[in-house]
Amino acid sequence: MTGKGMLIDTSKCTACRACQVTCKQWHSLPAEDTYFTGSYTNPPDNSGANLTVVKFIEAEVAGNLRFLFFNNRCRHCNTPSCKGACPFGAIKRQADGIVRIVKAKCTPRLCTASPLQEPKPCQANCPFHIPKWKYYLNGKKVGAKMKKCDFCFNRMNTSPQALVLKDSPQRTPGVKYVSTDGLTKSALPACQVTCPPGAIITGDIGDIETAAANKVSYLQANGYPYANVYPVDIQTHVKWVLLENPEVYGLEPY
Amino acid sequence: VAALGESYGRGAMTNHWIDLKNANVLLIMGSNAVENHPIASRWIWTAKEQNNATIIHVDPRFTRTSAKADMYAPIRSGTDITFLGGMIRWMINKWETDGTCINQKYVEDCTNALFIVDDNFETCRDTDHLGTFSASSTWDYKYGANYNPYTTWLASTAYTTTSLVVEPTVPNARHYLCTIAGTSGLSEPVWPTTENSTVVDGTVTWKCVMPAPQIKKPLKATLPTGPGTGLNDPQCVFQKLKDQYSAYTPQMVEKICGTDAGLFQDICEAYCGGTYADNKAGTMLYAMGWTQHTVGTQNIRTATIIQSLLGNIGVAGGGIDALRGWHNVQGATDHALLQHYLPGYLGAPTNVAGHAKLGTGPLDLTTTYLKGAVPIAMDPDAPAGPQSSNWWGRFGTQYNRARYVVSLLKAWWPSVNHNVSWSYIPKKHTDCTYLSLIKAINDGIIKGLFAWGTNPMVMGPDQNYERNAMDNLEWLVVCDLFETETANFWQRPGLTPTQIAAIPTEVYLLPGASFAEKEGSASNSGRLMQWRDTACPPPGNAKDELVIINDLGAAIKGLYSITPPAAWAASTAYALNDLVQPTAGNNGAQYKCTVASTSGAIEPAWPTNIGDIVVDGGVTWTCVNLLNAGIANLAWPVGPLLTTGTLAEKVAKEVNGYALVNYTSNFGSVNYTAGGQILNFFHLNSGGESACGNWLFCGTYQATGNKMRSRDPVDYHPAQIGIYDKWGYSWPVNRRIIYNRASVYNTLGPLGQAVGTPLNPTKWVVWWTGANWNGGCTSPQVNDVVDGFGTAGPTTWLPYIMNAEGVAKLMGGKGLLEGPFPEHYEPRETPLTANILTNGAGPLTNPSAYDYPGAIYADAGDPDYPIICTTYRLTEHWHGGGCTRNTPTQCELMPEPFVEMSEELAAIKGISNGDLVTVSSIRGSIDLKACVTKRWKPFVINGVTRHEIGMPWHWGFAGLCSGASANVLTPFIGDANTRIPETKVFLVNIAKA
Repeated sequence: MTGKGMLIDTSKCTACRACQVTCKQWHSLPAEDTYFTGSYTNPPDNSGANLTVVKFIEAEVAGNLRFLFFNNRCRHCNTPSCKGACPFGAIKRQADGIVRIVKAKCTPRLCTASPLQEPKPCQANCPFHIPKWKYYLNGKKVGAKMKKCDFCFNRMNTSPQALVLKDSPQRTPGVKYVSTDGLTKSALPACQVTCPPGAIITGDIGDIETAAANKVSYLQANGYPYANVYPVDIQTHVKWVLLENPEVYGLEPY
Repeated sequence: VAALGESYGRGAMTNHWIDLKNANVLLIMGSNAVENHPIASRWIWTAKEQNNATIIHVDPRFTRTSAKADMYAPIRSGTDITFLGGMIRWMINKWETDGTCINQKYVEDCTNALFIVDDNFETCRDTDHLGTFSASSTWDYKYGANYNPYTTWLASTAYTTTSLVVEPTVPNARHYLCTIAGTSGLSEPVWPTTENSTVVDGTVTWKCVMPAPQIKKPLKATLPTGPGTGLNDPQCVFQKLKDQYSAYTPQMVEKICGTDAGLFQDICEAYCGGTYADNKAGTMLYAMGWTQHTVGTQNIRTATIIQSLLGNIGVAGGGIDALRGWHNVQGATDHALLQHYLPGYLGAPTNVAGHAKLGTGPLDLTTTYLKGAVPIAMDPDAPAGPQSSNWWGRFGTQYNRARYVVSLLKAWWPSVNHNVSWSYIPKKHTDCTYLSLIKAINDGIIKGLFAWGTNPMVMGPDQNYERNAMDNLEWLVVCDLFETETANFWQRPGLTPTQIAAIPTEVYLLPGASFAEKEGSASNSGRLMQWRDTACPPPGNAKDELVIINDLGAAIKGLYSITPPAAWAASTAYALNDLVQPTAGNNGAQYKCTVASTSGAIEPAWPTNIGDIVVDGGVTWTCVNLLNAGIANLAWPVGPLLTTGTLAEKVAKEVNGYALVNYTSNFGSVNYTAGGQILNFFHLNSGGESACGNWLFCGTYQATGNKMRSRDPVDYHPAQIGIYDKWGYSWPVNRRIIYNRASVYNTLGPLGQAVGTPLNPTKWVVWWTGANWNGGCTSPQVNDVVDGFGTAGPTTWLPYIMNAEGVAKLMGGKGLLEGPFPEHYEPRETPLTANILTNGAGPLTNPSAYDYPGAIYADAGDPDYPIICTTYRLTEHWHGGGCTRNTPTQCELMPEPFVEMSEELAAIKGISNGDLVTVSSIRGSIDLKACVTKRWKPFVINGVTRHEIGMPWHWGFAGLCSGASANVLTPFIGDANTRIPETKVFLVNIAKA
């Protein structure tokens, strides 16, 4: 596997959910209607307005109470099965491994037999059921395009000015911002830049895999014998360091 | 603030955020640091990564902080003193067994452990008064004779210019220095009392100097520590401490706190064992979980005792960290947003006769403010050995306290004599804390209220009482970003249109500016001041609050213009109550004729203390201030010499301090020209030559520029401990770790380390070479700024420079109401009917707490309210929610209030996760959703299962996402010393709605 990689270290994540908010800001998505469901997780799952959602999991493992946090989002599979499932060819895999939905081509109302039929092919074929489109806004069900993490591909190789939000009056219309270096923070995914404990890192996928393996070894020797790198069976460009087995997080054991 | 001040001398976090990375163990207690301080807590992870630090969390509920901790222990809310007192007992026991878990040398050198206690002092363990101390008159040391640095004048005696200063045979609060050597006369001269005036006596010439007071000498146990000596001296503070906590066994901790005794001892071992060594450090992080109790101040006092015993103060990675709930809370308290202070923690004067006059210092012949405010130094070893610097006392020939107070008065009233302007300062005549203000509004005493960026209609306890109290206001001004519950109090739920129409209050809502829409400084928990520029202007008609208050002040000042009385005239008949002013012009005071007659031929010397009289021919004039000249004479917004910069910069310059006239500093002899910015507070004078809005901030805005703007992201400290001295500016004088004199050996080290060598040579803070504090550096000033006066070494000065005794106080004095050591008392509302600690013999609740008349509280063990309840904040919302509950993304994350409870309690009450439930206290009830969680567990208290629940308190009836306010339930009662409300523990019941 070559290309970009992202590591989400749940041992560092404090579930402040700044990633959820900043993701929404970068993608100009509204806050959807929510209510308290008995858990801190809100909204309860990814949606057309939330490309990343932090899930809160309470579990007792070998007599130890665990309060676990899992940042749920597109794994950016090396061989994305959603891509082949889309009848409109709206899902693109970049050479660097980023998997994204091409907005102009995505037409969810036409990719199933009836417009509102669920799941849509990309979601049905996603081993992690990630792409979503609908959400409630001011009491109405809205959403026109399938949405998922796009690795902030449109922040990559852009200059700091590109940090100006799309809907901001300060943004000069029509100006293409071109990168001079790939190192400025603006060239990183919004969630990574925001994350206070530094639980999200990105880089070359080889380095990411090494960092993940090192962290797991450290955790296994320091009170978390079941620490692991997730996913294992499917090659992905986004990796997680988990403190317990994926089943404890309610995740598919891939 | 109160507790840290009592123990160490300054009421502030002892280190700074970045310093957390140097800790070996972090004890987070009374704080949910990860959730409520998400940005600052990244330094906890740095400690974890760089030091493999151990993180311990002690909290009633398993939180996001607990999830990140290495050790977690549950504790019943309101029992922290028992837990910490148990730690003290455990440490002393361990030290007696194997010499570990107490930093003995630090305790001997840097605390009052060896001081001998008053013979009649008895701890709470004395069976005559279990649970309370002997009379407060005994909360003191035992003293020997004072050290008197003066000799009494003798006739026909040879004196030289190196002779000791003499005092008259009848002391007159002045002393005399020999300036021309010779032999004194046969009879005593008439001593002049004006400073620097001289008198010839035989062939000697004497100069009158401002006196330095005698030094008190508490007795001290003899070192080395051995059987019956040193720390084992039965009458020393350390042994009284041991006696006080002798009942706080691990089993007692388990009975009272509900914390497993084994787990408790594991935490003691991890924290004390991991940090007592010279080269190890531990930090304690606390927040409102320690303060918002009837024993809040004493909770923190207990922590200071532990940190002192471990030698964890003043060193890198050590400290007691008050996590402030807002980025500028420290700045707010520094600038006296507290009822009992003037800016810079100068005690606010009260309505006692002695505070009518400012005075000059401790040797004033009558009672004055400064006589009481300048402490007398205490030095057991005086004149030998290192001395207490007694910071508030005398430096040069002036008192520091007087320098700071006079300079503050001159900042506000530069054209008025400071003795006169002292009369302009209101003298506090009653308690003016938050709860007392609300009560005064309720009682119709306060008729108008400004609420600046605060939302008391969500934040204060007993909301039903508070919201009704507001109806008594004639007017209310709310300055905020959104229309809050406070601005909307008259539209609160439950009122009929008729009731709303009957509320007479005129409400004004002023749109303010957010942090990004205004410039100025903010001071964080670590006392670091950082200047911010305006990122964008506030929208529409919204204005920077500084602009609003500036306009308001100017308008009020305009209403108070006064016409001064006619100038005094010679040989003129004056009638009773005639007013005059000096011929030289208005000095801020007026002179009232109190004995009518004809004035003299020569103008008298006008006194400047209000109430003082002067006789002039047959007339007697009394100095008065009848014209409320305080507002009319106020320099607004700043003194006339400050002419350049933006409004915020001008204010910052005044806060820093500037010269009013050309002068030479009394201490350090540095020359200033009028209008020049002052470099640091050593250079302030008490004669009225300097103006300074807040002495602690002196140095922030120097002649070379605004130091709060400094942005050099390099740690120049050779030990790389994260000082970053050129990033922003930290009070005092850019010191990042206060009490850093305690980070070196103050006497010869146990392995023969020289005096001044760092306790931890790897992570040293400052280093005394024997000649200067530049040890470890290739150039000066890359280490941390040494505490106090930088040329005095450990052999000259004791480390805790703000305390009169020069050391940290394990045993307090009379500063806190309950007594000199903390003692466990139950919260005001407790499910217990007897104090387990004293088996019912001692007081159940804090006897010093103040029950507000008319407020209602559940009975001890009230069967109608058997469940303990606590309140807290969430990461996703902020305080009263004025901002975050009007931000859609925050409402999406946490849309409505909820109450968290254990699965066990939910099963008993038949409640499922997400159900709507009713929680009621004796004051009111609210409906909200249930969050049934494994993160709450029932406590077993003295063999009985007790349930505790908790809820966030951010919600109210206004805003984008609204909901029930937890503060409808909380009690209207405060801490004994500070009256901070006890919102962290009270009694409720719960039922499915």
